[in-house]
Amino acid sequence: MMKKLKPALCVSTALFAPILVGTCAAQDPQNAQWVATAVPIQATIAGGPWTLSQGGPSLGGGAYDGPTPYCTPGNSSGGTALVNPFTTVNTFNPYYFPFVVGSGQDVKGYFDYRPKNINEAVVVATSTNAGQSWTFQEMAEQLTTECPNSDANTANSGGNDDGQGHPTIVSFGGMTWLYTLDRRTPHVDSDGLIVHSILPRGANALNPLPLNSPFMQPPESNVIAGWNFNNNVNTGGYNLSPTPSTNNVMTSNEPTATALGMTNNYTYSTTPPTTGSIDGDDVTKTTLSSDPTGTAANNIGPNNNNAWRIRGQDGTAGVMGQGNGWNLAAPPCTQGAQFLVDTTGYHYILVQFDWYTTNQGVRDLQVLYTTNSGATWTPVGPIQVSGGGSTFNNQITINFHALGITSVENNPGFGLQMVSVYDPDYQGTPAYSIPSGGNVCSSTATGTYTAATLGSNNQPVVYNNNSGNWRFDEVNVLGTANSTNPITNDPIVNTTGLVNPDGILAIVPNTYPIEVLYISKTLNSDYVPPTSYPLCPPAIPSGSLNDDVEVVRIATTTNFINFTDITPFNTPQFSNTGSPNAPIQMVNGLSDPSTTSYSGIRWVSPNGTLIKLSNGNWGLFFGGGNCLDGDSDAFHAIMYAESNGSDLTNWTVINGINNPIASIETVSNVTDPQSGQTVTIPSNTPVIGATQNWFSGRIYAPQAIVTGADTVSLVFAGYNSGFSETGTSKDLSSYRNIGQVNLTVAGVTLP
Amino acid sequence: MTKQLLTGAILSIGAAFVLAAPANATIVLTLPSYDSPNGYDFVNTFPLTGPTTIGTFTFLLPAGETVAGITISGTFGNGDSGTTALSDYYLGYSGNETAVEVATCNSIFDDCYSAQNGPTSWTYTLTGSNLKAIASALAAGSLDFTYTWDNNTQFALPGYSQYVYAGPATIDITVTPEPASVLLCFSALAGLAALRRFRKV
Repeated sequence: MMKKLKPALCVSTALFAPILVGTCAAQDPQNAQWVATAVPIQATIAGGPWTLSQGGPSLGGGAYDGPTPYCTPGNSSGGTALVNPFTTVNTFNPYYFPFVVGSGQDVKGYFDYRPKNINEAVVVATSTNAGQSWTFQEMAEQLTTECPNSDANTANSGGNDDGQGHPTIVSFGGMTWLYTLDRRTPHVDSDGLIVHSILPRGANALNPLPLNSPFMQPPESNVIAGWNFNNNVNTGGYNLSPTPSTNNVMTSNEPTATALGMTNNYTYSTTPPTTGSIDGDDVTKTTLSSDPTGTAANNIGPNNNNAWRIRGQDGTAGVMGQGNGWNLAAPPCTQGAQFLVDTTGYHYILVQFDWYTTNQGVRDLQVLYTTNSGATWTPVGPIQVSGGGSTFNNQITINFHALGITSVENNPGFGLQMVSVYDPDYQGTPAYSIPSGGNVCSSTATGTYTAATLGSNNQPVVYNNNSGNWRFDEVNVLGTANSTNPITNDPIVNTTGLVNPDGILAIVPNTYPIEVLYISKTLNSDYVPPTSYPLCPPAIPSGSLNDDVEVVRIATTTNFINFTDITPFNTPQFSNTGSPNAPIQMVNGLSDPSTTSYSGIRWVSPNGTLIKLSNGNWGLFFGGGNCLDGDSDAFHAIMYAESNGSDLTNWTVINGINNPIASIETVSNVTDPQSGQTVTIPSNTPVIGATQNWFSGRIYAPQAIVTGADTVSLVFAGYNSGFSETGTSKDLSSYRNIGQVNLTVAGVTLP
Repeated sequence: MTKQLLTGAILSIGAAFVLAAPANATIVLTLPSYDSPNGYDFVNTFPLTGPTTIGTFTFLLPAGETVAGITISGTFGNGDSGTTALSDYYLGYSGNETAVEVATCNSIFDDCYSAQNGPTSWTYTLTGSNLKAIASALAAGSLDFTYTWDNNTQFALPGYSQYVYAGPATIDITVTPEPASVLLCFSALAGLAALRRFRKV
């Protein structure tokens, strides 16, 4: 009976479908059975920023010097980024990770606009035909306003397109939140997602988000005052207040640099003990800062290797006042360096500095700031931890604008301190403790200072109380002149409780607390306990390797910022050691992070679609990948799975790698790493039919728009295969395409 | 003869009424999509004292006609946001005493509040007593479409203001001749019937 029913369903559907592609094989009539009723098309967008089709084919006529370059006038003249009028309709690329809201024909989409190595932004567009064509509405949070310097834009720093990606919208009670992935290194796949509370208003769908992301460096940023210490010729004497190498302060209020706490009466652990210290800072040769490498081999003349050393005069042990300066008895936040810089005339204040610790230098540094010329000091940013003895921590950055601290702008009383604090990692006595509220400088804080060099057990050891110092280089206070480019205040707020989130897979409708399925990606962790998974062989044909562990997890929230992960433990099935894998937290059935089979789903990507079906099940469209890809971005196929109505933690894949909804180009006659058999992937024609070139390299992020009781419009993203080529074969003319295809379903009805 | 002429004249007038009397007609009016300008912080004191007007349906009834029925439809949520704060919608004068409730979103578990796939449709057909309640507004040809916040602090989110989003609202007003006109029509029909009988005699 079952065997007869399947072909009957396919035939009956075919009678009403203008075009029938794909297969009905391996589908259970008790689940949804999807059939395409049209061939997929590349969507279009009217208006908006530059698109690939305006740049011409491949790299020869791309963003830099194509017929319509990214910037106007373009080429070496640079200019400003193109904004297309609404009368200009282009193929919808380079956009991906769509997130579509609405049902029927009138829908709104949120897209990740990402011209490779040029920019990244969130773009909103609307459609009145369920996603076949779109009209640009608004762009926000763009990473940069810079123009590309070549078609590949890799000449400087490898280009820059690591902004905010993978947009997802949650609407609840008339409130709306936008979640984005922070792609910056080292934030990606470790920080929480960035949460934006928005208030959509007509064409201002992303109101009140700014056009420019807080990630953006001010395009006309100036060094208000800076110290590279190369102007301070060190002749061997002390230099207690080095003058700035750059001084653009707009008033007569000169910037100053002074040491803190180096003149004191503490006792030093020398033999014999020394009492007291006298400030003895100097400028000395210290290599490997962010300063360009100098040509001089010593610190006698002007050179780029100079840094400012903070310490006492460090003379003879036992002699009064000859201590090292740094002392265990000093209260936290009383020893270090201080820089006062008048920021009058500047906003968007940013501070950067290089910090060097000797082997015995104090391990932990806290930045403080003042807005009242030092009357009060406030900690800002996390405790900075030394990377080890005799090492620079380069370009530590405090972005006051991103932190929403505007009181430092236009302020003649602005200043910074970089001071020593107790080590939170120290496990001995006195135990580390700070009062509630987290003030590390509190007089009630307890703990001790430790040395930059860890002990033999890799644990911090107490500072020796008689040697070691800090040095600073490239200390810069930057700002944007008030007359240029004001940037909307947009402090960064991250989710908590989501474990290494890469993006949201789907939001569960009508739940409170709100429930979400999300992608948890742990970079380079295949061999990190408790996981010990076999590595995929080199990808075919790219040869890429990847050892990220990626699973789908589930979490709840009642305030849209703080999440509680409720993922149960399940066991990845495949093991090459002969013993079972340890259980890890992941939903069951969607993917197996340990599988090496080309038929298995090793990785899953964000931005899928969850639909409640008439059979009581949840249906899920999702993008996934396998070991053929060598990439945890999970783009091999668009697939479909179902879970019973009460449980989103157990899934059955209905349309998998071998009978997918859609797939990248077929890979034929390869040896499956797990079974050893010769296989062709996919083994069946995908539901939407033959793979087209514009999604032959990647396909993912399926957004199923319900258009009727048994129809959906599937909007998705795809790359051509040339994107992954290298050298002159690389083709950047067709990537991050938005596509659309119509599907009809049998076996269930849709909401 | 005179009697016959008089009867004929009356019948002619009656027939004219029959020919002129309109059948039931429908007036369709639509208000645009709406976003509340201010949010409601459920944690704090309710800030609004009365209903807020989304818009007013204005119409002019043809002479001699009356409203026989009204159906109103709309969506919770709109193209700006797919959901809405808990709220009740009214039609009538902008005061609850002369308005009738036509829709309500009163649970956070309803689609109107938490659906992620877009606006939720609603439709309401006014009852006879509803029409009586708003008779004065109907006579004036002016129906206010209003809402009030449906307070529910149980699920309030500290620090957030919720907003009312409503899609375009449409009313279908069915109009019919007033009873007096109908009576005239019936009279005409009776007259015609009498004439037919008279001729047979």
